[in-house]
Amino acid sequence: MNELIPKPVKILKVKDQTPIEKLFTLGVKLGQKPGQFIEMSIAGVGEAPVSICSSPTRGNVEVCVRRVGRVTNALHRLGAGARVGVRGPYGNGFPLEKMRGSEVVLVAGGIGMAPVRAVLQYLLDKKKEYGEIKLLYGIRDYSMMLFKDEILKLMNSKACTVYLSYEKEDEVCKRLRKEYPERVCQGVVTKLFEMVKLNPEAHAVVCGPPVMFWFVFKEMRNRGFPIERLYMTLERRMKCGIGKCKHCVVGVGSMMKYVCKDGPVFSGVEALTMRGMKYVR
Amino acid sequence: MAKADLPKLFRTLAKYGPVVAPVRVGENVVFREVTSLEEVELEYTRSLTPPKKLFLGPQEEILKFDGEKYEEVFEDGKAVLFGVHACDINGLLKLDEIYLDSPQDEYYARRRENVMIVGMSCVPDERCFCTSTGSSYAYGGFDLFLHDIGREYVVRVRTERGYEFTKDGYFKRMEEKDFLAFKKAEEKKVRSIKRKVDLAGIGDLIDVTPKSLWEELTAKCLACGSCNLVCPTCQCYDVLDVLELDIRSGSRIRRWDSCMLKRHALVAGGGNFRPTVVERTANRLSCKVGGEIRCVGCGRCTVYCPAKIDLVEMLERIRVGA
Repeated sequence: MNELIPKPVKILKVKDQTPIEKLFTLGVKLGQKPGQFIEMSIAGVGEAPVSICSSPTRGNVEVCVRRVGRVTNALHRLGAGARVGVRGPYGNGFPLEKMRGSEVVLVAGGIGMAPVRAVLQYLLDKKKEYGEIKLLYGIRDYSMMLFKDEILKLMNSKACTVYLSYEKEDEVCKRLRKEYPERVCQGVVTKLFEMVKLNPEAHAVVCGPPVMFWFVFKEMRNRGFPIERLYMTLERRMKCGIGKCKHCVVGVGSMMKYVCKDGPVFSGVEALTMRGMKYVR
Repeated sequence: MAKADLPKLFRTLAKYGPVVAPVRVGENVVFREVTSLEEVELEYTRSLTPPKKLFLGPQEEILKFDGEKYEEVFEDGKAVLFGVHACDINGLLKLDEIYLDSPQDEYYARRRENVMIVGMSCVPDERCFCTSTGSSYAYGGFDLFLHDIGREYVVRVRTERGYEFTKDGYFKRMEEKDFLAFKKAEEKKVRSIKRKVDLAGIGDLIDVTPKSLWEELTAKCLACGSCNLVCPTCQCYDVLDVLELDIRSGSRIRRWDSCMLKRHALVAGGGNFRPTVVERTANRLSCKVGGEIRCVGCGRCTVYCPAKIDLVEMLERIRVGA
């Protein structure tokens, strides 16, 4: 079978998330693992890797896409009913079997909430198999918050403990801070660790821009969290998705890895040993 | 097999499919289609571009689309790749590890299947260092391999497809003296490869090389990517869509890419994970010799570098650390 041929898939629903991000529901079920990604094609424009933001337990594949490059800009112009090309899912995904039975701490910054949402949905749907769920989410301001309804609803529920940090204060953030003073604060996402008691027996999932990852990594390690129980995702321009085109290679020297095939999920230990990471800006 | 019988072998090979062989063009030797043995350069050092181009084209159409309907484009065709050296055959074996790894690349896999390979012993020069990369001899990855032992060729057969071509009367069973001549010729070849490089642990040395040394090593580099274009093991490709005038149909094309070009590690939004030639060189060297040895010691990147950057010298300086 030729892995490079995309399948035509219908966009079922488009929902605005922020001024630059939209949620697309696709007419396809892929049985993906949370953390995996797909290659999305718009014929004539090109192909781009996009992480899946829905759990397989919720049916159709959803992707939350920021309008940032050629393909994603073209995608943003499409509405329900339009067709796109899809290949995948690719990548390893989060080791959710390993996390079974333990508490899970989810840390997300900005668009990193997209893959984290897939994990969160999965954990919520399999609540009995996992321990407590904590979500630490860092946003710039309320306008940039993804999945607003879902997050606000969760803040009010017992299914999961949501901690929220924001950089710029606005009306909604202010109200949330007053309502949940012990779980909402102003600052970057690492500030939330002052409010959370970290259980060293837990597993952690971290998604966000590279700079955020390193700060979270340091913070958690300083607080005694074992880095081998921490998982993060990396994003690169995976052009083939199957370990051939080598655009997504990370690491320098003897520890080179493909983000598309060996990742995009890496453990804290793998991240530390890929010395090439020191070049990440 | 007597050398005088080579035209006979060539004629039977040509029945399998078009023959692609080394041809002298000006100062360079290039692989291109030939119709007679006279055109073929039997004794050459290295071709400008490696025979990789037959399996992974410099630019090739992979899909046609009409709206969001995609169809595979593949030109089926048998061919004979004649006169390939051991280093380049080893280069193909290294590409096999990538392109035939699951899920395999169908285009590459089918061409690998369709193209018959006839190896040929080489004429090393002072830039060759294949004995340091373990690629001075091809154990597999070919159908037939012709070893020049003077007036005759020792022919190694690796596949049933290759065996079919050795049934004619001019192939003789090897005798003791032929084994000796083969051994002598191989010894002579190996001894003539004077250039050596110690690659043990070089990956970690690349990793700990200070920025100041990298800057010195790459000061002359033009970041032109010539080293990638001539490398028999470079695997990177780029993908682009080309639209027809009806703005709904078109083709998806892939072409060789180069990790030395600025845009290789560029991501949407403008972030670049290897912004300068320092990171890009560290990446290229890591890819070639950092972990598994993916260099075959052909010397092309050094010979064809317009800035005259020498790979082996660079690796030696990385080992010394100054």
